[in-house]
Amino acid sequence: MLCEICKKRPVAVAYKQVINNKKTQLSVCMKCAEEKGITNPLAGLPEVFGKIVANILGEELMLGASEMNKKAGSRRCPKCNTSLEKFEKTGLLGCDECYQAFEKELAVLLRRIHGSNKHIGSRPRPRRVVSHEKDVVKLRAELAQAISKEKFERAAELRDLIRDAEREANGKNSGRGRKA
Amino acid sequence: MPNERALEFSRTTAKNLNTLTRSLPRWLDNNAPHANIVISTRVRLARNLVGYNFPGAAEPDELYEVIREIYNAMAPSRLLGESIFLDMLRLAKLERKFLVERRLISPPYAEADQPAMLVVGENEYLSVMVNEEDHLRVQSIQPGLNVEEAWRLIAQLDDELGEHLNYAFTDQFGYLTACPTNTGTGMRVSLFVHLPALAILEEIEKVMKKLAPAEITVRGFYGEGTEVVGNIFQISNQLTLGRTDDGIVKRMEEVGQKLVSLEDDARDRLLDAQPVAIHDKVYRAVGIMKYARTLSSLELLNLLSYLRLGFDLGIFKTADRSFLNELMVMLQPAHIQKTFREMDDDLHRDVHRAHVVREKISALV
Repeated sequence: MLCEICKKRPVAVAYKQVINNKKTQLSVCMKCAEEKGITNPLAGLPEVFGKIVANILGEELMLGASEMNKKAGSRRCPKCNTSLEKFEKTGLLGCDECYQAFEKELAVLLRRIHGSNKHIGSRPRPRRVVSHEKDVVKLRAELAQAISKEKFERAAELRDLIRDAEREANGKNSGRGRKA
Repeated sequence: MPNERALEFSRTTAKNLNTLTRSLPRWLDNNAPHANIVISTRVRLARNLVGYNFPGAAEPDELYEVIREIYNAMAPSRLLGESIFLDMLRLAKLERKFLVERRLISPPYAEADQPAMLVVGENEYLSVMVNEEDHLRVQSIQPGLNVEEAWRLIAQLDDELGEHLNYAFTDQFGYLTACPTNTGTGMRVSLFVHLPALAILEEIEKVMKKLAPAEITVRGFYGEGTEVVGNIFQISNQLTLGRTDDGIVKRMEEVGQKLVSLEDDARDRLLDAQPVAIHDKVYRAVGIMKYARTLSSLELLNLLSYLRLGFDLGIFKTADRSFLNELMVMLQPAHIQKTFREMDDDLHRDVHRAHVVREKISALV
């Protein structure tokens, strides 16, 4: 099988995806994949994936003036300081809180990648040893911060975590666990 | 230094690696379901810890903390009871290459210059890369087509570790990962399939198109943008969000079954339509293996593909075909060099490889 672009070198990357009836399909050699920046987004080449991220975000979100684009691109995650621009470049987020910081963009992006942006798989098991006092203190501080920043969804999660931790400290099960 | 103490396993890294080089991975077993076509099944889960930046954005101190926390969480694990722990920063280039060949680490992880720990479970069924792209990349390998067993083991390990680790998780997005392509279940199922008949008939593309609605992706021998060699393809699920774990397991088991029946059918047609050509290809491969004085690893993989096909088609009759997988794994460049230090150039290794293959084949065929 030869590369669909140069028609010379053998195919190294086959990218095939059908999501929401939209079909993308391309078989190319490594060199063309690199040159054109088209490769399997799941092939784990973050910098190339970043270009795909940028395309998707560009298409979906950045229809406004270029000034606005810059403003959106320089937005940063308050915890790890990763900017939206950097994420577009590398394809990698910096920490779990990026998912809140860029929630709107990610909801769109994830839908484009997976055809869905709602998790329906299994959940973490209840933790047996969360209740180190240090952890609870850390969680409480984070909770206060979340409330002051009006991040109520995160606050609710933290509240649950603290409750779980305290319950477990009292020897009770938190009720979370792997779905059947 | 707390960091030094955090890596108490670090001292034994060299010894542990040597243990690995002396053993064979158990997933080479040839008696597994559909092992003639599906060489192995792998399931991996991506997980991150709350409270630390993802490895790509974390400082070394933070990464040492992550290692320490995960190391402690593994202490009570039953599944990892007989595991060995490797400090990646203590491993030289050759040793890292050995681990890539062994399918225990990814090529990017082999370049690691940040604190990282590799954990290898007994018989290599389970392993964990700490501080790859995510804090944890847990992997489960089984011989043949056996997604359910690989999943059963990894889910159990995930539960064990989850009792002691605070995974980054939200109801909306599921498990949070550095790359959004893994978000949700964080789960990737990969089948290593040997499809020589479909390849000879040039039907791979058609088959993959047929399977495309099953949301799968095809990669080469070492994964991630590598080339297809020896007619071995790596087939994986693409989508991780909005799918249940069990749904992905079932889907990939079905994909495996489908590929097995398509390849079986292609073999029948091939043997029907061009019996002479097939026998010729297989016997030519045997001829080269019996007499060649040098063999590159790439050439060997391609020859093994035809030899394997010869066994599958009943051209040769030997009960024990386990040597096929053994040669495939043990004669990779870093595997040879790890055993024979002096074989530090291609020519030496190619001569050694040809020698080993000659002896094996002459005894069997």
